[in-house]
Amino acid sequence: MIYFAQKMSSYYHRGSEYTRRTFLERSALAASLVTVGSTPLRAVPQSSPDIASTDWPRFGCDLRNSRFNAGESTIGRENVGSLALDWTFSAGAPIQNCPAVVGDTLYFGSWDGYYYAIHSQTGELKWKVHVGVPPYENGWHNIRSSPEYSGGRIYFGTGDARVVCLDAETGREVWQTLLDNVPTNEPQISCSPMIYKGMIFIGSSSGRAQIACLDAETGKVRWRFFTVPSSQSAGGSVWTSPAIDEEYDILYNVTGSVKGFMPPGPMLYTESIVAHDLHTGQLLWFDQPRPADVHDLDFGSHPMIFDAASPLQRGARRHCVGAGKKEGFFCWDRYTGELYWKAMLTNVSASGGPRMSSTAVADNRVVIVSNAMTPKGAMSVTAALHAYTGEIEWWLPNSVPVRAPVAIANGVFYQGLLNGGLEALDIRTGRQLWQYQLPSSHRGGFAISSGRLYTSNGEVSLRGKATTDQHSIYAFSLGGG
Amino acid sequence: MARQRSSRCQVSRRAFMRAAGMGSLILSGTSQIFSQASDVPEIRIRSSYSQALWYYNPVGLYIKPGQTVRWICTKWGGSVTAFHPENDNRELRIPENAQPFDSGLLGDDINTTFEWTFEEEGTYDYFSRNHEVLGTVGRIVVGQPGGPAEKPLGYGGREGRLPIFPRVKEVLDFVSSQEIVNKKLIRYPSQKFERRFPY
Repeated sequence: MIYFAQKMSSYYHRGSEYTRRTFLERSALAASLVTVGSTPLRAVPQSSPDIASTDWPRFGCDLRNSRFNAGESTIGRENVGSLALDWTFSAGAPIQNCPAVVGDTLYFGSWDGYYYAIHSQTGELKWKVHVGVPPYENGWHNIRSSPEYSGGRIYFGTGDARVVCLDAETGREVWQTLLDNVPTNEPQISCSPMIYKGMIFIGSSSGRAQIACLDAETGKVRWRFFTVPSSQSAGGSVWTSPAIDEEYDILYNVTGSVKGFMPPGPMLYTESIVAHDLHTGQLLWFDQPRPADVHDLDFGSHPMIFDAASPLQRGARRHCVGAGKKEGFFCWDRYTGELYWKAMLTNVSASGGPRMSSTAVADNRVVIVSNAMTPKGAMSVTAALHAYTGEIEWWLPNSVPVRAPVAIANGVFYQGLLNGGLEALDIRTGRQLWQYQLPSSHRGGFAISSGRLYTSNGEVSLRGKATTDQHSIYAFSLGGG
Repeated sequence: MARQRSSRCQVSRRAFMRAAGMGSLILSGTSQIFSQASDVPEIRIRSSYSQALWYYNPVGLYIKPGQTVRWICTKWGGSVTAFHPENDNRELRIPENAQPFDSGLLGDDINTTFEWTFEEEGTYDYFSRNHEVLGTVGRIVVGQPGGPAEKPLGYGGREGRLPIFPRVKEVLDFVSSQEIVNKKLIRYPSQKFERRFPY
């Protein structure tokens, strides 16, 4: 406890004092939670009443950002091997975001500059709306942010740093807000939003990155937290979606590397995890594993909240938040910032580690895909880690990297490879249960909902060759269509 | 992709033609840093995450008075900024009568090139604003070495100028003016200055 007191008191807190009293209150709170921890691991409530437990309404599926659908019961270990293609929907341009599935509608964005709503059971187009993003020749400034459905609306970010709200029924624009109006910052949003209690939480990637809270009804910014002091001291991009602790209304984000070193000195919130009071934006705690890093070791995988059960002590729980960085997966006490464990399965590099949100958590396991750079090229390793200890339960090598979000549902782990290969693995053993080959790279991730697996392909080229009309949403079901 | 020239660019046609002629004459043995079209020497601002480096390549360059140099930066955040009191109180490390230059921010969606014509003879030291602490500096000798840049690094401290970072000293000590005159250009020795992970 003394260690944490020292650690917490040594932190610099932006705009407010983290007092001894606050610390003690939170410590006591955390301690009581750990002691009480005999309650079972709970199912996570959804935020919007019109969302069913089987839906996949946002990037992380639940507010904990676990990329685990606890409500899926149709596809499981026993029958996933019979998954077959049900339908496809071609968007004509790469798709690098994860669809949201609510009821009979699936929402996603494409690099053709449109957002789409299609029928989740047939692939039939319901509406499509151009959201003002330039065509996909423009590299990073395409649609990468996944949509979130909430209260009859969908919300997402754009490659030119706008947050957009559309009517989910018609696609009509309700509002849009420009988060960063400084062109030299080269702002963009690849982060996916999180909507909670009438607020939207989203981060930007920019010369001066920020975490923002917007009013879901109006789009008005309620508070912002800049991850670097100025545009010159650039970086700290928020590449991926935040997580929310509903018990105490805490928002967790992870950030990318520092790009400028002006003024020289500690950039405390680059390559960091930052925890905020989501109502006020007050910084509660942060941790920066590697200060002033020049190796570009971003946190590129989303923060995930989970409660881990001890393998040895009955009833003992850890209340965790974990996130993947290019130098490994880190797991902290989500109330104090104490580091519980970290694990790295591959060599450290700017192209390595768990990238592009290739992590998910369920069943007391954190499953990660860690990329490696080898003398002969790139590959990756998939492993299940014990959520309490970080110990490896199983691992297996992949011949190519993974640069897309993974997912878990009903005991099955889903991953997609950079060569377009899709795989379903038994989360207990890593045994392969199903595979499918897409015509080009898998970059958008998975959504599993009501007996269907949805995914997409979305690279401009495969092995240097241009692809034509190979960018689609794919829906798989048991036995196929 | 269209690239804008910096608004600070000061290249007259006459200066350009003169520079092109002299450049090809003097640096005939180092043609790889000259663009085919213009014979303007080019310095690239590069980074290597695995080596923890941001650097100018070549780090040292010899030119004649009136010659133009072009810098190319295709990653966000570089700049070409003279050591001069007008550039946020850096110590003077360009000739007394030379104009201070500062490219402003360079990057992949904004200006990617910066050009400057060097009229005054002497030694010019410059740095990248965002990466000075990493030792991202370069030196250009115009005609004959000389001027404040030949003074010991850090001399400006007595005048209240900003201090010199250790990495800046390491790199500028490596790229001596006489060596530049002898070799005409000095490539950045990335293996000498790299910091591999873990450090």
